[in-house]
Amino acid sequence: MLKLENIQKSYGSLKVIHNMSCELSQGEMLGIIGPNGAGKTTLFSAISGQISVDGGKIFFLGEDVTGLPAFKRCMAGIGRSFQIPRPFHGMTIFENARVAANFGAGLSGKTADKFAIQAIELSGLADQLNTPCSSLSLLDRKRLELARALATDPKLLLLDEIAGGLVESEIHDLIDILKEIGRRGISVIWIEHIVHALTSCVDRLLVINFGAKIADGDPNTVMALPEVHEIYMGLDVEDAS
Amino acid sequence: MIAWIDTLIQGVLLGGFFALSGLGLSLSFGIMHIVNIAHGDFLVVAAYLCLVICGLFGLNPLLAIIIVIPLMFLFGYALQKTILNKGVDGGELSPLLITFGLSIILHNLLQEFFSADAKSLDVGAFEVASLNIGPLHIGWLPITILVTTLVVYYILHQIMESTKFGMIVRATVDDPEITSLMGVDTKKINCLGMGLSMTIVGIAGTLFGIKSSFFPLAGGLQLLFAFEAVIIGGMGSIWGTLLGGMSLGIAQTIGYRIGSGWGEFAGHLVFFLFLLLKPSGLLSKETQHA
Repeated sequence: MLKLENIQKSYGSLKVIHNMSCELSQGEMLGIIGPNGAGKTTLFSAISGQISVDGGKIFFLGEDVTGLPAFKRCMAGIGRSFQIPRPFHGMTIFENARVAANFGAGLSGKTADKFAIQAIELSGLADQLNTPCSSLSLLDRKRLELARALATDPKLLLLDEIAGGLVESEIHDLIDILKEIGRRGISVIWIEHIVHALTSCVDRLLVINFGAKIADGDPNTVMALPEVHEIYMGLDVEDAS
Repeated sequence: MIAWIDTLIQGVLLGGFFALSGLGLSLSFGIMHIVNIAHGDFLVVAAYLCLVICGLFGLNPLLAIIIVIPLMFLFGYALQKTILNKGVDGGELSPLLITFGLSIILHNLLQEFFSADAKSLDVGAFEVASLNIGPLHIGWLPITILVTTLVVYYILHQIMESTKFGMIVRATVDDPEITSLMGVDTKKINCLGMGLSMTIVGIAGTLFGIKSSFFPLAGGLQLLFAFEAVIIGGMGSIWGTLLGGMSLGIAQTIGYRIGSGWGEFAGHLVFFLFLLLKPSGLLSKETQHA
């Protein structure tokens, strides 16, 4: 459903993404790991349309979306959450999700309300519909990021370190939610540093470093590769053993 | 005592106009983050537009407002779509330069078409009619301006708080990037926002043309007053601009009461004190969120 062809992106002389190609099929959950500055978040911004790429093409559901602005990609079905939650401050949880349901999902009136509430329920915030966002805990802010992305009715969900900063029990709750999202047939790409959270959920794991693909495949196989150990863990294989 | 009560009432009435003329500026800054240097000139353009419409159809300016409003909305929408949206990606400086350029163009165009002579919008005896309560004489025109201002603020408040458009505008103001990721065409929201800003400028400009005479370069001083109202009230806060306009109006009338040359100076002084002691203004956006 998503196909990246030779994506390139530079900031000045710094090459952030270097000839990246990748494919994702319908309903698949792909994990991405890599050291800080590897280009993971930039890749997300390129897919969601917040930044334009310098070269290469992005296909979504068979259509070339490389030149489309972010709002059109959202309407086409690409939803994104951020590493640092960015709720609309002056609004309640419900209002936040309704903006997404109104525009991203293209719904109106009661249908939009209902859809927004469903997304909030799935994210585990059902009892806080009318809570203003300014008073939420980190876990709830992360859940709101998820609820709002879900309320755009995505076919592909991009999750940026949604488990980062959470304690173990909270991560467990989140994994349950993500598994439910997977069961609903939504494709997911998930950037995460917490590897065990990732490997317990995803079908496939992609490792990137310096904007290039290092490994791609079954999570356990990929994690066992010596070059992944070396690059991702910052360790020598011999040291690690 | 009566003299001071009269001063205060006149100050509030004058403040009503500043609050209205500042509102358009406050909106364009609050929504599009555009510091609109041509704001005062747009007020003057609206006054000339009303003059032309009155001349063409023989209408009273207060009726001609009905035609001025949609034309100014379309003007604002088109201005944002064709010129200002192109500059938004270049940071806050490029809209500033664009509107500065527009201001110069408008001065020249107005002088070319209407000459440098002062004009005014004639509403006949209404302009000087007053409500007399004991020793107090309160002009009907300033009362009309104040009431119009309050009605405009109320309608804007309702739009922002109770409509889908208002919700999207609030979201766009908070975080335009996230809003576009929610499927909202934020550039279109900017166009509608500028349309709304110019609608209010249309109303304020017509009232400005009725209450005082105007000429092509009259916008500069109006921009300054509008800026002072917005900054005293707090950049980006709608209700702050109302309070800012009132503060400026009261300061100016107290100044005029002290001496004829002191009015504008007193207004500038209050503005200066705010910059010095409370640069975030009476109601800044941050305090609204807290």
